[in-house]
Amino acid sequence: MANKHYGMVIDTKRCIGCHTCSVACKLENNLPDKNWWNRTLTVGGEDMDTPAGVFPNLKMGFITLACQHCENPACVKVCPVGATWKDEATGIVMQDPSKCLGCRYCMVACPYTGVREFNFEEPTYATGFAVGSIDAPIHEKSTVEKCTFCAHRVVKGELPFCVEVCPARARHFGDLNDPESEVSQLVLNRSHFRLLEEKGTEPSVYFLT
Amino acid sequence: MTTTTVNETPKKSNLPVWLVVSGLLFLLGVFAWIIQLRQGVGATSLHNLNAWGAYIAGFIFFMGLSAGMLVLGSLPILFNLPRFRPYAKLAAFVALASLVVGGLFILVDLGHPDRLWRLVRFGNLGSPMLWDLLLTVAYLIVATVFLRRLMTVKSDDALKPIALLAFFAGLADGLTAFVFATQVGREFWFSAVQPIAFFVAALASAGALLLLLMVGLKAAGYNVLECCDLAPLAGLTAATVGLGLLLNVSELVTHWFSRSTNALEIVNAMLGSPLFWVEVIAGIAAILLLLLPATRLQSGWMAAGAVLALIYLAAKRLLFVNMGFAVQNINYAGVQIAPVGGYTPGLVELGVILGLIGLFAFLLILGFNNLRLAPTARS
Repeated sequence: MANKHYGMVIDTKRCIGCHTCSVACKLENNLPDKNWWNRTLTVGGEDMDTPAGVFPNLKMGFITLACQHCENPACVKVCPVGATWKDEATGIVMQDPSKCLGCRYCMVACPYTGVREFNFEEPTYATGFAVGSIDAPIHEKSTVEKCTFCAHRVVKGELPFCVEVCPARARHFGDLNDPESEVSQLVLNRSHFRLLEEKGTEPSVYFLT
Repeated sequence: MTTTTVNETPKKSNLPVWLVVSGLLFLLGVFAWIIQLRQGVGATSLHNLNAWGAYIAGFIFFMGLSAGMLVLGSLPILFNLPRFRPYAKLAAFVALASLVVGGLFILVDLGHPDRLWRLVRFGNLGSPMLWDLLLTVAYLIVATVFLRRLMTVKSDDALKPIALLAFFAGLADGLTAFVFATQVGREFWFSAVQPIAFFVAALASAGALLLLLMVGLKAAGYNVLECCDLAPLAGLTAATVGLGLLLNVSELVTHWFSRSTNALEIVNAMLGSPLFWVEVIAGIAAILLLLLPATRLQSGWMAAGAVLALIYLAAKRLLFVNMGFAVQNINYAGVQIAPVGGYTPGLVELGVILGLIGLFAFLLILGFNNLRLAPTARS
């Protein structure tokens, strides 16, 4: 069977900046208090959810930022022990905390600001019990973690949780190697951009404009 | 020129106070590291947007020092340079000590030092960090053999093969630079000038520390240093500090000229950092003290020049690491994932760093007291 290349297509025309994907990701993956694997960033003013410009000429948009699951991932190349790797069968860039040395070289190498987070302290949780999926990734002190495209769901044939819950239906997920897939068709037929294309990392996340 | 006969036997129990002080500093460092291990790397001032800091700067500094010492120790044997020859043994020993300390700087930076074995079992040969690890192991072997041979072999001709290896090991300091210079996401580091700049800084640190040791050991009562003409060492130190400053100018001009947003941000961050001005002022002052006729080759001034050169290098290394994080490639407003403001080393980091510097001093004093490292008069 041919390898898949899973990718995400995010429609910036539909995104309403509601942060549901960010919160859902936190819930599904049982993320510790300080961690956000998927952040909703405001393309506008200096503060979150504020517009740029002067009334009445205001402008505001949103970018949701998580691991870009690059085809040429800078993080995989630098990890000295293979704790982060590209899964050839799916194209997903994985990260295994139990193998991580905590050297943070992957965070240094990744050009996409803040998509990886290091557990600087013992992880703490808002609830006294684990939330989200029963097979959610583990979280360890002194290791790096990041979005896995919800690999634990994808392997069961489910969508990443952020895609599942998006109320504006702005997020799409699928196999970019399949020309008939929804994501391939969207990329083919809509104008789009990828983040920091000039860095040559070949991200697998497309933003429709 | 070597004119005075030198007694190779070091005075015993020299610098006992400093041995105790450096030993206590080391213990302080161990204590600070234990705090860090218990609390996590969060006990330092590092954060998600500034993932590396003073430990990595210390690693670069000591690896460079080791490389510079290997080059300074091997050059006079390879190319028959009698004016540098007296320092060869001392340089080889300092290379070994700084290598140990440099390696420990990486160890204390790791979140999981207990998983270090994975580097051997699951090492990714494509990672520049692994290149550096292999380089460190090679340094360790070469520096040990080189020192041993220097202590036992009298003929420089017989020393040439190992000196050649030591020379190439020293040149390979560029590999440390590749840890940074290969990072496409870090605009300041991503430059072909870095391996050269690292090598220049390595030579400067070796020259400055040798000068300081020569003057300091004499003051401490070691009767080993009458032989040596320090002018070439002072000249080399001044020249490499100057070259390092010129490379700074080159970095500033190339970034400024492009006028791109990121490049201008880098220029502003550099000029706005106190470290930059410490680097420039200490560097220029060191050059002046080491070269001006009124102060050159006078012990006190020379020591001051060497100290200033080391301050210049420490500031340079810390600024270099910080500048890698000066520009956020994606800088839109969102939830906070790091504290506001830049990075300044915290108390725990300072404790660990002082401890490692203490260990370095401790190892050096042990060497001075117990090994025959004295520059020897040679015909």
